Amino acid sequence: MAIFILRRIAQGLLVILGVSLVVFVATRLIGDPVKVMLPLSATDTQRAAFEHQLGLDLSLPRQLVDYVGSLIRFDFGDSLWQRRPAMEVVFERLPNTLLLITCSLGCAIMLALPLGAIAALRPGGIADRVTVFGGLFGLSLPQFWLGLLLILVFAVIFKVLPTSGGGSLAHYVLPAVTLGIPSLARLMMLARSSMIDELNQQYIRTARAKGLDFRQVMIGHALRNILSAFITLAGWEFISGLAGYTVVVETVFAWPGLGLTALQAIQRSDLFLLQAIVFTVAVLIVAINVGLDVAQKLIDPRINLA
Amino acid sequence: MDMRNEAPLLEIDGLEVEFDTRRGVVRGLRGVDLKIGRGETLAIVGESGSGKSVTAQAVMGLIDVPGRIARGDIRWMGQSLVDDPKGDGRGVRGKEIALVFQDPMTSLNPLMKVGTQIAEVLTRHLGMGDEEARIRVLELLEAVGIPAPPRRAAQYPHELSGGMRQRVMIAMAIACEPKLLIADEPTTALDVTIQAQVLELIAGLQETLKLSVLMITHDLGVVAGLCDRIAVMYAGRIVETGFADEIFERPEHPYTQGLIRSTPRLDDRTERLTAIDGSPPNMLVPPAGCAFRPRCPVAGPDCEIEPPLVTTLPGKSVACWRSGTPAWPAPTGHIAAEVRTSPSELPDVRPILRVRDLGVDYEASTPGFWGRMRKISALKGVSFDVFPGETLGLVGESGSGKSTIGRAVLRRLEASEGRIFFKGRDITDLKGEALRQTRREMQLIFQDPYASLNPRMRVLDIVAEPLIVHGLIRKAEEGREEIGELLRLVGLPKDAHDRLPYAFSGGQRQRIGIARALALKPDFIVADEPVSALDVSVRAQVVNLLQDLQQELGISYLFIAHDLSVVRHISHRVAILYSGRMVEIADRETLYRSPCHPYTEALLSAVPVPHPATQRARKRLVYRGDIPDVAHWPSGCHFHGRCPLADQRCSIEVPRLTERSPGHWVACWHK
Amino acid sequence: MTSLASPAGAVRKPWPFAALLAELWNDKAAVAGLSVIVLLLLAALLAPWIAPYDPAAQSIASRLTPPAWLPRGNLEHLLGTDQLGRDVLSRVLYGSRASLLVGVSVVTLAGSFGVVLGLLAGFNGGRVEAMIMRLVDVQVAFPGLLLILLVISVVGPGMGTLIVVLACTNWMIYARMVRAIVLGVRQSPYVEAAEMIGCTAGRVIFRHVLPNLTSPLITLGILEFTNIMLAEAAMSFLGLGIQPPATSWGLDVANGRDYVFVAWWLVTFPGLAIAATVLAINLFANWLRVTTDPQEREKRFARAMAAERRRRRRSR
Repeated sequence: MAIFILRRIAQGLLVILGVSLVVFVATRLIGDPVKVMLPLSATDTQRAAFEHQLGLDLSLPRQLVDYVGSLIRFDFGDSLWQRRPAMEVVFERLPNTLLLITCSLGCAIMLALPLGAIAALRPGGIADRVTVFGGLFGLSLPQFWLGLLLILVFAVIFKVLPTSGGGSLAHYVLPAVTLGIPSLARLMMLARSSMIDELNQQYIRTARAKGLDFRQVMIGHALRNILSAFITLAGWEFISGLAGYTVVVETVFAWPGLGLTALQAIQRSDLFLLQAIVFTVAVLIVAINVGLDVAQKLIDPRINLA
Repeated sequence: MDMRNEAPLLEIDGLEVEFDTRRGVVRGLRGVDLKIGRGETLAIVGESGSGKSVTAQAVMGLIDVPGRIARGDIRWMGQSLVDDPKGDGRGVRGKEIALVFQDPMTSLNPLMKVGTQIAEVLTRHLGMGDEEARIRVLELLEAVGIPAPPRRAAQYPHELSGGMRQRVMIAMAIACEPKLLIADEPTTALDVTIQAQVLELIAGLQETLKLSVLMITHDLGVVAGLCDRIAVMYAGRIVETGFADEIFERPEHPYTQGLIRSTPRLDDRTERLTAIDGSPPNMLVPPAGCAFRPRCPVAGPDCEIEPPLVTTLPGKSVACWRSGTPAWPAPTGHIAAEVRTSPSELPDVRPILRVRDLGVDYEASTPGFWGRMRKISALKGVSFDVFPGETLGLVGESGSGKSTIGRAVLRRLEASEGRIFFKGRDITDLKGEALRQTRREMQLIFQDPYASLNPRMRVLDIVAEPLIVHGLIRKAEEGREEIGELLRLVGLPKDAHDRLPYAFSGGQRQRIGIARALALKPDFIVADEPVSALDVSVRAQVVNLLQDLQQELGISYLFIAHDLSVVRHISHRVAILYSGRMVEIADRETLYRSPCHPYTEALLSAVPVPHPATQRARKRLVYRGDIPDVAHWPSGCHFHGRCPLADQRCSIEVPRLTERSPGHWVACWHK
Repeated sequence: MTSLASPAGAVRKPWPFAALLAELWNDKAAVAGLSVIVLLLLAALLAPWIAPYDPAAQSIASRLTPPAWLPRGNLEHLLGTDQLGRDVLSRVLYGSRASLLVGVSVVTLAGSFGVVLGLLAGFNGGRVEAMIMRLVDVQVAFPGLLLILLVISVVGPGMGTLIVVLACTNWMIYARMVRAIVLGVRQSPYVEAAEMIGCTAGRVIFRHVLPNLTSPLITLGILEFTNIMLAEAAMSFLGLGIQPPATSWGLDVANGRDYVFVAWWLVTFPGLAIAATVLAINLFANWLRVTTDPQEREKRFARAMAAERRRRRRSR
């Protein structure tokens, strides 16, 4: 088990290495951070001073060494916009984002499993067709638009929920629903299709031939056996929320999380803050992936320990 | 055994099952009547699609979409199981009727410990508590002959061997001491020696638990040793039913006659198997009248009316207007066996294939941080010759390396040691164009007639491809005549050219594969289990075809199979493999009459003979234990763990093949 | 099926076109989907001829006109106008072009790259395969959209950038699928048979392996197209995709965002266009996926029959 986890972590380090390479190439080779970060009116001396301050006047290999050093120390310099260490900003905003994702995904999971399972009982039946259509519908809604519509309906017309910002529990409802609907659709479709596959397995026939009642067959055998696939997808939904969808949703609802901060950093040309966010998210993704692998291993005894 | 006056346990009455498909309604069962009494063992025998498994599933309430019970009734001690408002089988299923499936690999829940899977039945039907159930599970595992029950109960199915898993299935089935055990092809997925163990277990349990058994199988041999009565099914109906001895001695329905004649026997060799022409009917549009009519040699105009199942003798019923008419010519005698002497016994014949000390390794990753690749030897020290015009049978159970030999000889797998000579030339290291040219003279026939033909290509293109790639013709159309000749040779209809493979039955597809192999006029063909995926009646057709082609074209075969009866029928010489080593090789008669190696003896005795009286009289050597896994071969002689003769030397030193009498080589320290 | 006499055997094409249309007709949702797709294609192609106005033409006089059926609306602007007096209908019609262009280009680029790498991995095996698949694994675990944001913010937004960046981050799924299929088919006995009779590697690949890729690739391409469309819209919404004066549905939703309290139609119609298009494609692809898989197709039929039977039983 320890070897297994070590191996996954090694693979995760490879991911982080890849991400840092892309960031390095993007910021130092393709783009010109000085041009991006300083206003157009800046003088040449100001530019040179800034370049020196950032270490951009050094040779490329030297820059690479410095860059790797800063990665290891988890130090991404100061945010130009907030004028304080970038990591400080990240840690301040990160909990909001994690809470939002956890809320929306938690609800999505709790709804998706029973809905998918009910649909799978009678493929082609009414419940199934409603589920499939609902799932495809959920997948088709652009989140930024869904969010605006929800604001329009619940905040502007009915005035029952706040339009934006964070704070009370009521503030969670609209962003969480917006973020969760595509996840719910995907999870529900997966629960449905894997449940249908599972119910066609020979061992389910064995369970039925044993005379087990419906509940035992469904929950004790079928549902339990799709958990591994379901948890994997749920983990991926968490990751994709973290790595992108929250940017859109947080922007629409002005949610004070990491995604909104990322967009603000871009608008203010704050490369250091953006770098810090990308790295933090990459590290989180790697951690979640390792966790998922371990969970799968615990559920499915067939997966080889190596 | 007379239960005519007693109320039957299970009664099936006019059962019809239909399947909705895009092309129409497939009639799976077309009116099945069946009774099973207490303590009775009934076998349903039939080929694929005959409806034998559907019958079992109907009893267990397992008919799912797209199938449905259209008409008829199933009664358990007078109570209907079809008209079952709660849908739970009235607490009968799993408790009083239990089922064992064919494939022990997929029939157990992969994510649940086997002990828990057995305990489930106990808590559900007998209301046992956890502790009580746990103890009972251990007893059950013990009863089905699983060593170290506490350890096994805590394992997952993938940690058990196939035979072990089937034992677990049986333990699960007998957990509530049912009155009826339905066994749906319970040994088809198992190796011969393991099959013998499981059959012995079922017979023993039947005795001690006073079980009735409904055995569903395609294998007449399995039936012969175990069953009181037989029901033969064809195209969704029972065509003949009666006591086992009666049916084997005096089959009345032409189909039953044909089925028994087309099954090769281990103890008896006829020159030519009786083959039933054609293939089972398409149940989408079953032929009007008797479904066997198109294939029946004695059918007449009256057969256009479906014959009812009528009682001809006490306990015997037949559905045929001409029951009892001999339908097939009497088998040609056993004399022929001696006529076809092996060419290897002729002086001055050079072998076409010579294999010396062949070994094949493959790489597998080992557990560990870096996951280093480890060499696992699948085959070691194998030597043999194949002579022109001869068939060498290569027999072994799973993991024996028999297919590996076939692939290595054809250079599809790299030999890691040893040499291969083809027509006197060393081909072990041939590469590229030289290898391609050599392969024109050696070809392969596949096991799976469905997967071995490209579903997108016409028959003409499939058979023409070898000619095209070797530049003999440029387009498939150019070879139309030549290919027509090939198709005729393998017995395919004239208009087969332009069809896609899916329009053909399994047997016909196998013929297409054979035509493709023959296109380049090879001298040597490796036939890798060419008939094991085919139904009995069709199997005989293909075996006969292979023999005819040998007579006509002088081809040599390396015939790889696990079915010893078929191998005996077709081969001149036979080699026995066990766990990647050759243990015995001899001409057919010597090997089958006086086997030398203990494994060969066990293997031969494990093969059931399709004749009840003979099978009952046979001495059976059933050795405990499993076939070792390729990755964990034992030291010394690989058989020593299961061998009654084994001593310390056998577990250390590997015995080499030595010649006991001319042409008879054995690898054993003791015999 | 088993009988040679069956007429189906003589037909070369397994599914004649007419029968396919009849089968499509049975799935009304898929028919609706296909109709919307056709309409969208027409709109994109014919936008200059059917759009009532130039999408960029401003008219301060008629700004924020509501749709025609509302009290202040008029028939000159069916779907109303935006804060600069631009016709919403015309913008929606023109906006389809951006979605299509980005979608098609990205799917083509990412698809070709992914297919080539997948083929390399599937056929070569060994070190090449290990390297390609490791690259796929690593890139799949990248923080997708965030990294895209970073790159675009450095390089500068625009349609070209968007296409390249989306292609670079969406090729992996093709590579994975192609490799899996190639490996599966290469194991199949008919490919072994082809090698045994002496087919050259090229013939084996083109004649026996590649044809198996067509229908799964088409289905995957269609599904990926919807993902790319949504990604393009999201990026444009964030101001990092299509740049004005060009139009895009996502951009229009972003423009209308500030007026959501006074002019709901500005965000509603372009958003609706995105949702309807994606839903239509999804419905059609769902049908197509089942239809190209003989087993699924058979199951679908059986389920429909079973449902039909249940209905009849209930009504009796």
